[in-house]
Amino acid sequence: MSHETYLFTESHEWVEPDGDVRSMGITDHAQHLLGDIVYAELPEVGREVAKGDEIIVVESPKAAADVYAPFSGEIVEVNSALEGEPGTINQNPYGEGWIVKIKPSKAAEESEGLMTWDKYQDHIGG
Amino acid sequence: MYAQTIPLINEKSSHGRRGVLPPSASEQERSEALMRVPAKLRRKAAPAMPEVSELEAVRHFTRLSQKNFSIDGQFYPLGSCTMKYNPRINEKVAAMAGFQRLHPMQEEADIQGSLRIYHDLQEILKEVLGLEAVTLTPAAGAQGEFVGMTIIKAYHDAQGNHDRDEVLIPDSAHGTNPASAALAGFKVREVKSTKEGRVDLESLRAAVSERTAGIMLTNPNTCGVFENDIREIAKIVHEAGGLLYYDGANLNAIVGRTRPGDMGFDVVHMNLHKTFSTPHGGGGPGAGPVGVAKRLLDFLPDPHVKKNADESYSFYRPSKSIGRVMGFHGNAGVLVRALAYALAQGGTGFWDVATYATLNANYVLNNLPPVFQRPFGDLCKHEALVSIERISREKGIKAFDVAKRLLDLNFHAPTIYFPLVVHECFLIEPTETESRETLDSFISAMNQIADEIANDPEKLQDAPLSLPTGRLDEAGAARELNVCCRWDYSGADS
Amino acid sequence: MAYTPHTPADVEIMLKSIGASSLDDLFRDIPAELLLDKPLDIPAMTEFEVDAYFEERAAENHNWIPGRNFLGAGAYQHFIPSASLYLIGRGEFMTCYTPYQAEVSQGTLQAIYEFQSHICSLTGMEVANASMYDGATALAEALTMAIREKRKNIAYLPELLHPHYREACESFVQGLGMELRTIPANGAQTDYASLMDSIEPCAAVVVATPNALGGIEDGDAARALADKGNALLISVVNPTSLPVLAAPGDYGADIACGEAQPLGIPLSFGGPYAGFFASTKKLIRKMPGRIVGKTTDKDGKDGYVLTLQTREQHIRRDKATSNICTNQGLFALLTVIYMTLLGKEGLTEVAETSLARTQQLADGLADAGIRLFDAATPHFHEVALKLPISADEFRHRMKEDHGILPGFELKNWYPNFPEAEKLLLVNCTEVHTGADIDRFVEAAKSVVGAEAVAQA
Repeated sequence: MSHETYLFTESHEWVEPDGDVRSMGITDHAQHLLGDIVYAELPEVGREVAKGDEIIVVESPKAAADVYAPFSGEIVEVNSALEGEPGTINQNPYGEGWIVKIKPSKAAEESEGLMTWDKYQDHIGG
Repeated sequence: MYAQTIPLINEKSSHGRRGVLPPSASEQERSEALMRVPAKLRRKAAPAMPEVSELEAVRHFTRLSQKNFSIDGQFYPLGSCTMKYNPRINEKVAAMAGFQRLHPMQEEADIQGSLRIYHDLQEILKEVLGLEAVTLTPAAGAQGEFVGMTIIKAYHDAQGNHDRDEVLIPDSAHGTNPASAALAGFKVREVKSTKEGRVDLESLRAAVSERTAGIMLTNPNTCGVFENDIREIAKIVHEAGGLLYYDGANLNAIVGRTRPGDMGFDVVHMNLHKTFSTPHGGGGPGAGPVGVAKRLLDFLPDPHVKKNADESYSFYRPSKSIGRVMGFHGNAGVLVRALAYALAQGGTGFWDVATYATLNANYVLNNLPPVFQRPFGDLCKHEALVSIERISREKGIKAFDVAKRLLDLNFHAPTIYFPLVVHECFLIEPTETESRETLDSFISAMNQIADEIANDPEKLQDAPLSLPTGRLDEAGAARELNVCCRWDYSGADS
Repeated sequence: MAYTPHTPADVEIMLKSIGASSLDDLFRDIPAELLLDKPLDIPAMTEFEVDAYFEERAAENHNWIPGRNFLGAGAYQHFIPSASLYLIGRGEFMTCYTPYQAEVSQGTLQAIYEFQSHICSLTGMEVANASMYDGATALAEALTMAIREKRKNIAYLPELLHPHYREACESFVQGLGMELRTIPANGAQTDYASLMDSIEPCAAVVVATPNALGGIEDGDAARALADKGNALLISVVNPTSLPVLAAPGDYGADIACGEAQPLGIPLSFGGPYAGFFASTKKLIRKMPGRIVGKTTDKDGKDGYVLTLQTREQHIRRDKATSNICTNQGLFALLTVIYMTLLGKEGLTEVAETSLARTQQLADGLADAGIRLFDAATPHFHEVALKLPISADEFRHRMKEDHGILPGFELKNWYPNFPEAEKLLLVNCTEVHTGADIDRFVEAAKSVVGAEAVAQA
């Protein structure tokens, strides 16, 4: 699926637009701002989260960024390959650099506030 | 600088080689003693440790020292750190046997000289701060902040105000402020800065409430700007029932010229390793004494020093003390050095410290090439804040690159990327002990770099070019963590 | 005008360049009512007068000769090689800042990397940081780290933990709502087994060895209790003991910390010292304080940098693992130099000699009829005496009649112990010769005299 079909948050997360279980990560813009990513602190699988919760911390040598849940729901999978190769987020933020998979509980209503690719481009270009 | 790579000391070790011999019981006495300890409590094999001669050790550490910049060797204009000259009289007196061999648990009759030092330093710091009492125990600024915030918490609790759980902190604050407040059990609420780099009074009014325990401020703030609304800030916070905490990291700008107590602050920490010239030692030790207003006296940490009616001195525990915060009484040796400095300065010396620190910073601010832009106003206090954000966008040069290039030119870099509210910034603190000639040579280095930004930007991106160690791979260090070496030198037992 | 180089001509040129009319004009941004109109009323001294002031104060302290001083209680006399104090006095070490600009701080960074390595080797742990303020605050930081790791807010501390450490921990964790419970003592050893049935799930169990009475603890027993509480085991150790006593890593401690003062730091009235802090590699991202890591420069040469800085306050602010910034770097350096100069054999000799002298003193006193508080527990370099007379009187007479400082009165720490007023804590290290021990024993005999004989 092309990342141009993804949904985006103001805090630079992307999430797949449909499905029971959806991958999410951080945008190319966000990885660029952070620089070389050296560590991703991943949540526990099975954790119930609310939209906007801090669920992940992504770190470069000189910065740490909280990553927020785009939907309420359950964390059903984490990308454990990132533990050995966190730089994958830099190289391929929309593909192999996905961070967690979330099973949204209120996808329909919570999609309202998310941006399309074009809107997100306006957001970061502004 | 020493140019070669220096092997780790264990790589130089040879099995059986001895350095300095300690006094020792005989081998028989020692092995008999050891046999009386049950085997399960004993270590099975002695830990690997260096095995080098005294000369090899001295040479190793001498060469290591030659890989450092220092105040003694270089101009070190590190903003917020006050890298002033560290007078050697301070070292001489601190090394006197009467202080260096004094045990912290000796009885009071045996420690009167050191208790008087605590007392005399407390008195001077009270005068400098304009406050009622000063504890000397905290080991560093951050611990002073923790002590101060814990005192504020204890005060509100004693008043029955258990709901005051919020501390207001400007977005320009030192990172220790929110970290210390959180450790003391508070929630941190950020207050925005205005475009002049000061606290936004409207945001502050909106932020205070019956949950406000206090505000933590630095004045002059981390933008090098004096918070001239400080009396109004104090009024807003006090009327809301909160207290004012002063982060004394920037005290050098105003010491002896104006006092935090007079501005309305209730709790103040100061960094003796900044304003009071004690050496930074590559990261410490420091000392972070905390001054308090009258209503907070009883909450000071244990122990506190007082002078008795008979002119003797003693320790006591204040009645509502927040308790002990260090194993003993703080960094006593640092306090000796700070008092030596304070005695040498006196009131007129402090007046000059603030004056010339401010003169030097403004001289630098006014003579840097235009590519280093001033985000705020025309007058700074003891440190000058400039930014290359505009040229950075054009040329892709970062503050980081400029900092590394300065190292090539034999200057320590200023603080970069702090305060967080100004992008691609440099916080330059020359201190009062630097001469005009030194400032001029720094300014000419900045001019050279400005030329290079315009004409040869790649050069900056590779800097440092002339040092024994080039740009280091920090991402690699964090990904492939190696924080202690493996002990496998030849001839080792284990 | 101490330490400022400005000539009147400099001032004139500089003011003109700034566009200020006078030096006072530089403070025009400060409201007039806040400015002092004259310097503070503090007299200034010449360097000679400063020196004389401190000569006076130093003379007002009682400067004990090492061989006649048997006071320990958390700070210990040891032989300090001359070269070590000289080396930390070098301006390149003493007058530099935290090594944030790594390329011009390789000396400090490599020395701290060696410090971390030596601490790991001594404690048998996998990783160590660049130092804490002191032993007490290192333990307090270990407790907060345990809260973060285990998400529990109870910790169990031994009754025989140095009481100052306990008090510092109480102050430190009060804002975090942590509850500190006590593991009782049985004589000079901690009774870990007594809580095996009642321990609740908690963040940490602490073992302090040697403990406040000099007793050597059984790390395995502490580990078993920690496992029962699903807790981290925090080991507080005296580094002098580690060449000969079981290391925290040997009995599975998760965190090892303590006071580095015995590694060649002068007593200096309680500071500056340095806390050390080591843990398993698994816990490193929750560790407080600075950590130096090895890396390479752009040409592939070895170099050192501060690493994992995202844990720290200047980046993580209120979410940092600790608020610590300035630590005790120069004194961590002093301990590295000390460990290097004494070396593997020297450090072992110091440990064994401290152990031997303490046993010799206890044996000598036993012959004179002076008993130990707990003779069954093995001790390292400190031991509690149970005197036939009050410790206060004993101490007084040893000082006045024999010129000996015999130790610390334990009633100050453990007032509820039976006959607490007769308990005295005595420390021997390698600075005490056999003759010093004999002198102590002879003096003690004459002080307790008839009473001891009567009881014996």
